[in-house]
Amino acid sequence: MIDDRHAVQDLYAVQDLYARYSECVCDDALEDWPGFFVEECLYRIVPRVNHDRGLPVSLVLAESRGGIIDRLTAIRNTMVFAPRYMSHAVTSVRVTGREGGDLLSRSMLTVHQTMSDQPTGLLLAARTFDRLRFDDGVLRFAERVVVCDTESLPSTIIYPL
Amino acid sequence: MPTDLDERPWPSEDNSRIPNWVYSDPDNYRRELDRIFYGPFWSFVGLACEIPEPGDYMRSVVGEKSVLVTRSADGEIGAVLNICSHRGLEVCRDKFGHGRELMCPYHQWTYDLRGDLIGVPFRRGVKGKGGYPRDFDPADHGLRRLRVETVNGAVFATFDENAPAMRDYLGEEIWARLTRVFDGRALEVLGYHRQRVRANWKLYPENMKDSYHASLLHVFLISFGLYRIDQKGELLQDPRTRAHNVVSSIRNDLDDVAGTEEMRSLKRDFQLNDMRPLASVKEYDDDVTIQIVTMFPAFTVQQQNNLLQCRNVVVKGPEEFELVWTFFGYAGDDADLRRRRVRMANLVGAAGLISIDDTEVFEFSRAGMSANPDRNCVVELGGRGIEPPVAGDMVSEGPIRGFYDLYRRIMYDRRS
Repeated sequence: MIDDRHAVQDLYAVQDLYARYSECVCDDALEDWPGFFVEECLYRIVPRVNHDRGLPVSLVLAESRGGIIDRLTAIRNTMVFAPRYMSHAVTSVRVTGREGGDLLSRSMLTVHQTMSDQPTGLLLAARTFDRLRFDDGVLRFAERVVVCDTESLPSTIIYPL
Repeated sequence: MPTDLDERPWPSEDNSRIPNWVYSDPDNYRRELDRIFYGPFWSFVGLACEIPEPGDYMRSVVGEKSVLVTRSADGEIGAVLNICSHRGLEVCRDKFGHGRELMCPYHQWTYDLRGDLIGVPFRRGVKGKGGYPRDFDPADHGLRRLRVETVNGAVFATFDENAPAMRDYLGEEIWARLTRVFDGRALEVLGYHRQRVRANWKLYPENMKDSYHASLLHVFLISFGLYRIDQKGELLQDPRTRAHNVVSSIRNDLDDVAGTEEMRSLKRDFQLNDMRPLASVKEYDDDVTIQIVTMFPAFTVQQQNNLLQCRNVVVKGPEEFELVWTFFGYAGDDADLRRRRVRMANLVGAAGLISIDDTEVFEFSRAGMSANPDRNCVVELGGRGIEPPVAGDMVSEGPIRGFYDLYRRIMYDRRS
């Protein structure tokens, strides 16, 4: 429950981060994507079954900003895929706790995908469990764990979540 | 019964032409279900380590049919069709479960884990009225059992009692490669991926036999030196069926390359910032860095450095399949080796740096083939025959032609 002015400010900063992050992906401005993470970060997209059963394999795993840059390099230069637009809907954003200077937050994420010549379709529904840190005065992800309910994905996951 | 399928000519005597309609035709697909997936061939249904304790069970699939793989009280692994003998419901909807019995929720017919019917409510009626006829025998109404064989922890099932034992089914050479990975050590599941691909199922095993595309499509793979067609490699086939096969490769030094001038997608200037997903350690007694074992009809197990995965194709109609990835290691792995396997999983799967290319181009295939069933694929790399290429030659589509040698015998064999 929000009970003071600082908490309101934190929530505003977290919502602003999620909004800018979604815009980065959905505007296809991925060159800005690594900048949303602190240098020593953890980024995972995990199927819910793996998450619930404690299995370590992710769909996407990056253990540093360098790993995020590598994925960006692959998206831009090496992967072969059909063109598409992404649309992220982030709801129920909440600060769930603090640890040291970090904010712990979570959100509900729905991602739609629009392929050329196709109607828009639902790609996945997920929850995010994040650890955010003020880094050079900017709020960034120290950890972002996206847990996908959509176990049988209707398509590949190309772009970041 | 012959149908118009039997009248449809194959475009050439040999298998150097494949008609596009085999990738989209609904009648052809229904025959594939009957003759291949429900015929005397084996399907992968899971790993024994997924149901470690007596009383464990899990859902799996053979063809389009849901099956339950169970470990009964005596520890034995079996598989039963997941449909109640009474009213045809799927008995179990849970992915994994544990218990002494399986109870259909509708009228509570109850089965043990071997599939025997052990409980029928109101069998003798209520207060002397109703109930089942005197000659109703529960022994006649158990769950349909499948034949099961476990190969060092990998579980295979078939509906057909006439299927040969797995070792005979695969042939000695393929068996040796399968049991190089499933080598008898206890296995451990590290995670799952599942994805739908809107394309015909055969494209997957064909792709896994296809050393041609790997060096051209997969820019990541070649740019970081994980595989190139000029590397020392092997294309093995089971000489009897031609349909089970192995693609394997040994990594060269990066500078020791030939033929790369024809690989227009090769990019030499890429470097990774975080090399951990590629950092491997030698694990087997040989130097094989990639080994892909493809079993007819649609199961693949791949070793790529320390990354071990089953890739199972589950058919969902003539133009859709589900690809189920089971990542695994050995129960005795230390934390370092397990971490390497987990990091390398970045390369494959539903968001894999390499595998995305394949599942994306299958949908390009569907788009092209579905609208053009009258046209044919040209499969002449390495000749027109089904003989395996000479040792060391990786520039061949022979294994794809081999697949269609068995396929055509099964599918278009005239039967009355």
